[in-house]
Amino acid sequence: MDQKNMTIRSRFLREMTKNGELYLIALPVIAYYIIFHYVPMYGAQIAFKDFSPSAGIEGSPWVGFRHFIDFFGSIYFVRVLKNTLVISATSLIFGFPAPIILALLINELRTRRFSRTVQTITYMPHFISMVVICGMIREFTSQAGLISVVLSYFGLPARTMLNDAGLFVPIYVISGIWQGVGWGSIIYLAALTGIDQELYQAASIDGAGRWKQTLHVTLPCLLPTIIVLLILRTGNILSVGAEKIILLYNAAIYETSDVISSYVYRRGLLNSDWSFSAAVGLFNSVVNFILVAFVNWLSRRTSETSLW
Amino acid sequence: MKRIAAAAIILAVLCAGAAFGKGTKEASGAGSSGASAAPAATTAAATQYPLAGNKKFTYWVELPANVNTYAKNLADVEFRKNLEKATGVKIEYQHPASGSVLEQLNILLASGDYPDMLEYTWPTYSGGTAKLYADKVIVKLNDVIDKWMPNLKAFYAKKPNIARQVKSDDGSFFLIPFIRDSDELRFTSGPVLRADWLKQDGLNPPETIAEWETVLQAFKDKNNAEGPFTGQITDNVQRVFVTAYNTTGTFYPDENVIKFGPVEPGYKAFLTQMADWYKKGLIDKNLMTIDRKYIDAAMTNGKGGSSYCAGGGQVGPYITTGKKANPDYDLVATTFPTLNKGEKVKYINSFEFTTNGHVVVSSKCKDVEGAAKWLDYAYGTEGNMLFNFGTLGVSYNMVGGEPIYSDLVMKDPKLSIAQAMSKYCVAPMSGPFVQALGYIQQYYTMPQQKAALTKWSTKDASTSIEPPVTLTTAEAADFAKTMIDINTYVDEMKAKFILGTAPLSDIDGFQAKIRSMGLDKALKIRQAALDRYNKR
Repeated sequence: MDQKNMTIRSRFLREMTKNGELYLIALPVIAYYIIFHYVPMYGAQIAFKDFSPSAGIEGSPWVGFRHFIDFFGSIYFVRVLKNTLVISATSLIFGFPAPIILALLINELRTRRFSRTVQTITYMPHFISMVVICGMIREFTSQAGLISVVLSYFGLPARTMLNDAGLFVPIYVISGIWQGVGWGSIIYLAALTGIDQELYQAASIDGAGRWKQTLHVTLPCLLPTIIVLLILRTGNILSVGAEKIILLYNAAIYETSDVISSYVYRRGLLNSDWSFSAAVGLFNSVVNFILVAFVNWLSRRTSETSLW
Repeated sequence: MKRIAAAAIILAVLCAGAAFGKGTKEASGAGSSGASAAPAATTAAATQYPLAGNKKFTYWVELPANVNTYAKNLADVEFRKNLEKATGVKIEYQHPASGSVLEQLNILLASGDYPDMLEYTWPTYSGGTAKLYADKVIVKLNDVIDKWMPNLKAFYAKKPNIARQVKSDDGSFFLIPFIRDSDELRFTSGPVLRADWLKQDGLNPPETIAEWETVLQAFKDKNNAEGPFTGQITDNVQRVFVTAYNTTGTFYPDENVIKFGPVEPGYKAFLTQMADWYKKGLIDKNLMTIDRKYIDAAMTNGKGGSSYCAGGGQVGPYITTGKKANPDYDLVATTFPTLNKGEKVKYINSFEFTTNGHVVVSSKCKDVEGAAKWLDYAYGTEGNMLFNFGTLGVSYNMVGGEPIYSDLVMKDPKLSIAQAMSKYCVAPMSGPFVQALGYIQQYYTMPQQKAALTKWSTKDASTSIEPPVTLTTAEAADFAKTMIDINTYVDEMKAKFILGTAPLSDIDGFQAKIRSMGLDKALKIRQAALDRYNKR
């Protein structure tokens, strides 16, 4: 027994003398996660309490699953869940491949200056404040707005597009792609530079044109990056941010635009209902976590690429 | 390492979702209130200012937007320096960052370490002041007012109807209030139209719904307005027109019986009329997405012909801007419309005591007597002049027995009138004092603005809206839970009926569904609160 303890201790000491500096470097990051991500999780218990700020977390009474039951029992639960999933899934299906395609296209550009210019221009929308973006979207899609007018040349009636429930998801997703496509392509461009040039040479010797090279060299080399990002993305499937929704939606199109976060926001505003918000947040986190674990498992089974 | 990093990222994402509640320690049980501990003393005599003893207090308040343009702390403002001189009390002002005032207040309350006094929109605080008293955060002020606040006490004795609004259902006073003691100070927004267009079209400012239709049609046909009436659906369109149908968009008492507008027959008529106007192009097609900036633009560039506007912030600036491009540009205010000529609307009103500018004294205040005497200064004659008009000979002069603001505030080369006023007094903002009529009469410099005040406050003698009732914590939680779904449903369907995406024949079904969503429970809660109020 003593001997075993001794070995653990000596192994620890040896490890410390050997890699001590590395552990020191990692320490602030570990401390960051403990202080800002693990300690606050203690507060998640208010999802099961009737939290009031003056009573504090410990002083607030336990109410069990009442807030969860409230949420699931709301007549709008099914609708907000459905809208959240539809918006999320549509963004995923159309929004996820967009930066990959852009990165591939930029990669094919031969003039360095031109490709830099294209990159800079496509990053730009990412840096504009969401409030400004949504103001622009509202303006452009209003009755006399740019997009409505252009569409009216193609025979579509000029109207306030955000009054039409059927148009909300397309507007949300397309503007999302416009905002994020350049920024999202950075990581793929970085991965593209890491591809061994000899592979391309070998492929061209075998008679592959640019299209075949993309198909058989570039894409397979990008796949691990794509899969990791896809898995991370599925972890956000229930987290359609309230900010953009609230800036764009209105009562006439709640039918397709009211999501979990906007519903919680309205309820929170009415009554500073912290516990209810925490309960919904906890529910989202649990579902998201299960999804990540599932997709990760699926990916490990089929492609041998996974997060853990 | 890569896996660890990836796992760490996932955790970070998850935590961000889960960590709604940050660690807060239990509020320490505060000591008993200074008021109840003190012996019942003789009724107060007038307080002598400045107070002796170099008193010092801390005072928590959001920095008003007007002040924020030129100072970062109230202590740097001329008015506060004059107030300190007059009362002999030094105040350390603490300001939460604007935009997250409520969050910061909650953190402050959870910390258990409160400033001596806190000014906030207390009636909107979840659970209300009664709960803060039960949690031993604030002090009950009945004895305090009785003993140390002779000016406020005299004011309450003179105006028992206002005292009734301020006190809670069990007769306790928790707030030192902001009072707007005349109609003109309270009805500062209402329907406004392009006066030059009316003149061109040979029409008078409309008073009934039928007259409005004629005017809006003329604006559309003759003046090419895109939005003959421009504005947001609930805040503007509904606010101007729904009262014509003897109902409102929310809860209101009809002969002391609480009703909910959207299920009343009048609301059906309102929706039907608005849907008709929308179809005819008399209401701005963008009514769902409109914001204030849009209205500002539309009302000055000829796209809009009428709207719901505030006298100070909109009518004045619009006329100034509009006249630059078009010398004929003019606006006129009109009364809230009715169905029949000669009628007056019933369900508009406003109370002297509303939500903002009220002060509580915290349980951590060691010298409640001193704080009370300092606060009472504002309700005396001298204090009232200082809070409303500032300093004699500097920010105002006496002309024919009336205080008249000097050019120093009315003609500041850089600041707006309200900003310049805020240097020397509190009149254009809110706070624990009684706002004077003279302020608004001079703040509204244009005749169009002055005329608007009487138009907008025109109402039937039997006028009735819900007084400032208080819900208990349990009631408030129940009420919110019921109303979140009902409000969502009403907002959605109201929009659909007006835009024509839902057929008007569904209105009966809509009203029946609201009732089935638990409206009775909500009505009962508000009825109970009203009954308690009436017994105060």
